[in-house]
Amino acid sequence: MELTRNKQIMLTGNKAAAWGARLAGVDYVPAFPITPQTEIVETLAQWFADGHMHGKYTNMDSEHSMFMAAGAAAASGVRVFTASSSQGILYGLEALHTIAGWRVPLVLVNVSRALATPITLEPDHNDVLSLRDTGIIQLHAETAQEVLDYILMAYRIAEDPEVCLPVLVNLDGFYLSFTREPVVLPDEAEVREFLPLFKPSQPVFQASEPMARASAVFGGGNYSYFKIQHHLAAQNVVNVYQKITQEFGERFGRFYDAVERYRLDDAEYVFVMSNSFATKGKAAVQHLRKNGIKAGLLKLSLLRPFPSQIIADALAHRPKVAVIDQNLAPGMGGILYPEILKAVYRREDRPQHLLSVIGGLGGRDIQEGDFISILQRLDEAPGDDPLFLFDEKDLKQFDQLRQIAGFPREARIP
Amino acid sequence: MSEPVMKRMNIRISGLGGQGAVTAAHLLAMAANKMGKYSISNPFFGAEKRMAPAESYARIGPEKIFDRGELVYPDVIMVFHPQVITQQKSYTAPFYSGIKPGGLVIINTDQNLLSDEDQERLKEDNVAVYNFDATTLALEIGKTELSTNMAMIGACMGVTKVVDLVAMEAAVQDRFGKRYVASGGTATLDEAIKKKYAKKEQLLQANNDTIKKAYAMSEEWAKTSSYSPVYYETA
Repeated sequence: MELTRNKQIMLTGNKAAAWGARLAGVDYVPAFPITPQTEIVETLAQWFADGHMHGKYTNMDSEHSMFMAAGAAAASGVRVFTASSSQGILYGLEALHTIAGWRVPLVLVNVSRALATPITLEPDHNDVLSLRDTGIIQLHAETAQEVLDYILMAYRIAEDPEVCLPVLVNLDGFYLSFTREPVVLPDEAEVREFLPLFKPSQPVFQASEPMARASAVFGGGNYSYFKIQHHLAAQNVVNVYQKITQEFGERFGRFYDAVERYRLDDAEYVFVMSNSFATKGKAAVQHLRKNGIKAGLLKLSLLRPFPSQIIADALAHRPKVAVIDQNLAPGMGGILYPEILKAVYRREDRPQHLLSVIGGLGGRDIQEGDFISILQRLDEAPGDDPLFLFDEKDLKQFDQLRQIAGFPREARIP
Repeated sequence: MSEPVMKRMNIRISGLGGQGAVTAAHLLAMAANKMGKYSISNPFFGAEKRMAPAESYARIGPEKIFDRGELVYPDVIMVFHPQVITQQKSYTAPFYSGIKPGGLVIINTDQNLLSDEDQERLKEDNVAVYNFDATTLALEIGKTELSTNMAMIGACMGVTKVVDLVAMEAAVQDRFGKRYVASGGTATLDEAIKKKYAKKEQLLQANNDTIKKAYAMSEEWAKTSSYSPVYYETA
């Protein structure tokens, strides 16, 4: 039994994110607080003030200004980090589409928190998935170690000449942002070998060399060209990611892939999950295996670009697969389900039963009983999707809330 | 040759905002990590405000932990404030829901707060109840109510031995010995603590003294109790 893990220190997901930015040697951090992200920028502010970090930290007046400042700074050739969450991301959404189109390399962290209304603080992924079509690269982390490692790799991806795009690292509020777990802090000198100080591969803004960038275009031809270029650059990430994760693994001993295949080889039942709840899925897989049920888990780490081929390969010949979306597109269902369906559609080796499950909304726990109910549904004939993970206890709580809010008992909301 | 290893221990702490419930779970997990055990801790609270319900969880064990978030089935429950019970300032009602048979409840109180029904139900599940007046001890040794969490940690350690005093002293040093900005809530707490103690060293000393005293008192209590943590033999 390996018990000596002295190189590991206990860090929250937020602190691990701050360490990622510090070790990356960022030059500029525009910031704006929002729960559950604030600990990240608070920590960085302290480190700048104490002289552990060099460059400039600025509190902005909103997330919109913050993302514009981040993009503009990256266009001037410095290494930029910023972070936000939920409503903050939405407030800056216009800026995020804009700076992605600028093709500037920077790293931003989103700490997932479900969107209003109703307002809450706990996580689901409707916030980060509202950035799905911005063309920003997305890496979703399960553990505090992944948060740190992904940020370091994110700079390599963002700054790669084949890419030149912002990269977002996602971590769940509470379940990861405030959760302390062991993290290996890499040595700064080793990080610098993996991630040298920023040398832009694109022309940067300089007073001595005036240059137009992101100018208005009309007629659609030029617009299409820019957009298709953006698409191709995003797609390049699948290969760039494999190259960079391989190098990271050889150097630091932690290997990552676009997806994680957890006990998939002989699995009859597969849960597809992402982010910190994937840990709960792994615990369920262990428990089911102990009881003789061949379960496995596919964890999605690289969400944009969507690694369709890798996912289809991983799910090949797995008979029963449940995609657990921790998000909801009302009127449609889970957001990732159709993406996975598209990935496997043309394949003859695709799963026989691909079930859509919606769970973990607003931080609602996914417990062992939920995984059992998913298995039961997978054993039935396909149809009647999605399966909502919502039980009698939740209903009872909801009825209590209605009473407190003053709704007559007979009044029904559809 | 096999040596006994303590099984996974899940600790749930119910307190009120500002009492240091989050810090307590953090310290227990850090100390466990220093001993080479696996551990993970996390808090749960709504909008950060004083005297509002705040929970935290520490999971400590000999194997990698694949579990996070709310702790539904704790082995040990610590209640940091009587209002958790008397005013139901708790996310889980009753406060002991989910406790495992043979478990332990430590309550910061100088008098019995449990109804006859509660006592009966806990007795049925063979759950030991330890009423420990942590706030009085904190005032006596730490000279501040803010050391209540230290007294509670010491009580938990004294009874369960989940982490040892050497590891905890190192964890306290890590947490309070250097400049450290934690979450908004704990940073505010830091400010209050700084005013109370002019010197960091005094704070460290007072914290450690409080923990040690609580540990010794609780070790004595454990001798009179049926409670014992679960160990298993390993190769």
